[in-house]
Amino acid sequence: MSSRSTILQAIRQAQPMELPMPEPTHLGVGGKMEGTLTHFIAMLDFIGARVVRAAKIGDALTWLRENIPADAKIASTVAALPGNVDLSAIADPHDLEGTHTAIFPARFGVCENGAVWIEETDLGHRVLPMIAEHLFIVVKADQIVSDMHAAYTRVGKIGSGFGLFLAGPSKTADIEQCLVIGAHGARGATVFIWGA
Amino acid sequence: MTHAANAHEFLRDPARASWHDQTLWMVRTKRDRQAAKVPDWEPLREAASQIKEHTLSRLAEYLEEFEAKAVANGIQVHWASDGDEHNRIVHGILARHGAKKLVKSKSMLTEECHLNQHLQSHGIEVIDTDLGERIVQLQEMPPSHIVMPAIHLKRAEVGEVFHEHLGTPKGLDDAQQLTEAARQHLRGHFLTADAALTGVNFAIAETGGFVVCTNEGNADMGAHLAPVHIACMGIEKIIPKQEHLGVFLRLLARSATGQPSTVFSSHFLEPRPGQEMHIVLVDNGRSRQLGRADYRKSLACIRCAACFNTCPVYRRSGGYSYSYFIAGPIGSILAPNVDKAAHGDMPFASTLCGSCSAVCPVKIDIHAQLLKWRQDITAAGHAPWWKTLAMHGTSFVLKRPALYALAGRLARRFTPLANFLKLDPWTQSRDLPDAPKESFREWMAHQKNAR
Repeated sequence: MSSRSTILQAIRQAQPMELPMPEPTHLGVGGKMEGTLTHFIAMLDFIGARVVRAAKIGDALTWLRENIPADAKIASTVAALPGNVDLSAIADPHDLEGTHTAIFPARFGVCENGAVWIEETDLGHRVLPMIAEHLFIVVKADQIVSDMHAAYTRVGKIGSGFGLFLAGPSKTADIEQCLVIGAHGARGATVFIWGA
Repeated sequence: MTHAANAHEFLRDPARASWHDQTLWMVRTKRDRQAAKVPDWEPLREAASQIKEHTLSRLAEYLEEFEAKAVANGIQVHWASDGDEHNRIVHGILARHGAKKLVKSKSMLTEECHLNQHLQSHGIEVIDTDLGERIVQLQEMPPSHIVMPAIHLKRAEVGEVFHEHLGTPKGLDDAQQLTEAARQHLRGHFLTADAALTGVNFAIAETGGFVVCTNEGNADMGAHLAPVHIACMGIEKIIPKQEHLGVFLRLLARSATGQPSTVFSSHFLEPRPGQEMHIVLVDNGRSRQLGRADYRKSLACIRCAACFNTCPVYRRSGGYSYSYFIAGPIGSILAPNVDKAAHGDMPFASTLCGSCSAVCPVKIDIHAQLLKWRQDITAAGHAPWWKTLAMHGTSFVLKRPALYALAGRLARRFTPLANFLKLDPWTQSRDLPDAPKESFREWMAHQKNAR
């Protein structure tokens, strides 16, 4: 007998009578966190992300010019904020090593934890938000949900092979609980929030 | 060595033991602060508990659903009855690709199966990429904590390890600089690995996808660069629906490290173009635990380690005092399922204060299971002889009123001697109070006579 059938048979013999699947909302779960832009920005600050607010997406160009060295390798998937790396010409994700800044859109932000939702199709390459030294994440001000339940309702069926909740720059506290920003992923994350 | 004997060694350095205690307590208080900011925290715990209990009652069906969906997504699914089979499957995949270097993110399951040793014996280089895990791997030691593997080490000790293995300057003890050195060192490995292995936090039956949570980004760096991604999971990691992630992701990081969320919560559904993706489903005793009604709920664990951080015994004895690779309260109810004789003393490494159950995000009755294991282990004859003798002796005396009265008289008489001799561990750091002159029964008799 294959291990598959052995395991499934053992489980069927061991598992108890079926217990009901709960409905979390009936238990009082969800809809209790604040869902305003102010709270989202405060949470981004708490998790070590930098926030830049602007009325128009194009306003980011000034910020990028002032904050990123002219010779830096910039990979962008936001048409209004072009980089200098042709992502479509990169077949091997290893070639993204050395990327200074990755610019990409997030579909929405989550107020309760400062995370933003990104799908593979927004990135070009899955590894982009980890391999780049800095992140510039573009999100519209009216695309904020309160908690993770609302977030998953919003996500719905994931239309591609990879999706990511990203909450700030990579970090670790594995050495004596000292918080260090910039573990294996980006050393800094800027969330650019545009629109009213 | 028993937990008590190991803890005794740990406590020989009181300053260090106190530092360990306070470090973990700080994590516990961070957890409290974050939990308090969530108005629906208790309903969330209840929902998580019920989802897990429901899942365990239909585990076979959900595993089949998960497998079918994962296969349809282009993922290859493997089943392993035990650790050896798991190791053979992983090695088989790597051998087919001629892989020489594997980068690994945190996976307690592969610790459980001793995968690293198996692969290394076949000439494959295994690089643990979580910073804490890399530190203890370089020391050739296991993790002492399932979320913070190097929590027992001080900065200067990490500095020594890195000086020896990564060539950092001697005496470097700055966390920022040490982390930077590890980043550079591990980046090199990420860029040259032939395959990546990750754990799985949650596998979703409805979608056939799985979620991996890290703060460092190491699981993603490995999986998105390597041509082969192997994800290893215990069969209990299944949840029915994607929307249930909302419940579990709200609880996990807050319970584990006191963060509102991990930095990366990565949802893998399909291999990227040109990549091969494998999932290994491992039983290794879990179906046996599922059949034990008293201990079934231990399979609901999401490995947040909140019970470690709150446990007064873990904080004051350290992870290496426990005989199983998962230490702390949860380890102490999982280990006897694997081997009652070898880990029989672990359920006794507890005060039964119940703090573990109070913080558990999925409401496992950890302290009740600890007590139950004590009874089972004693009944199976795995308790130490002196404990059995003491229990039989006490039982003998308590059944005989005259003997009990005599024993009481002797005990009242010899209390000062017990304090002087310090035979019992209890009296090593404190004195028994002065015994009353007479027993309650003697006092009653005097009252009656006086009336």
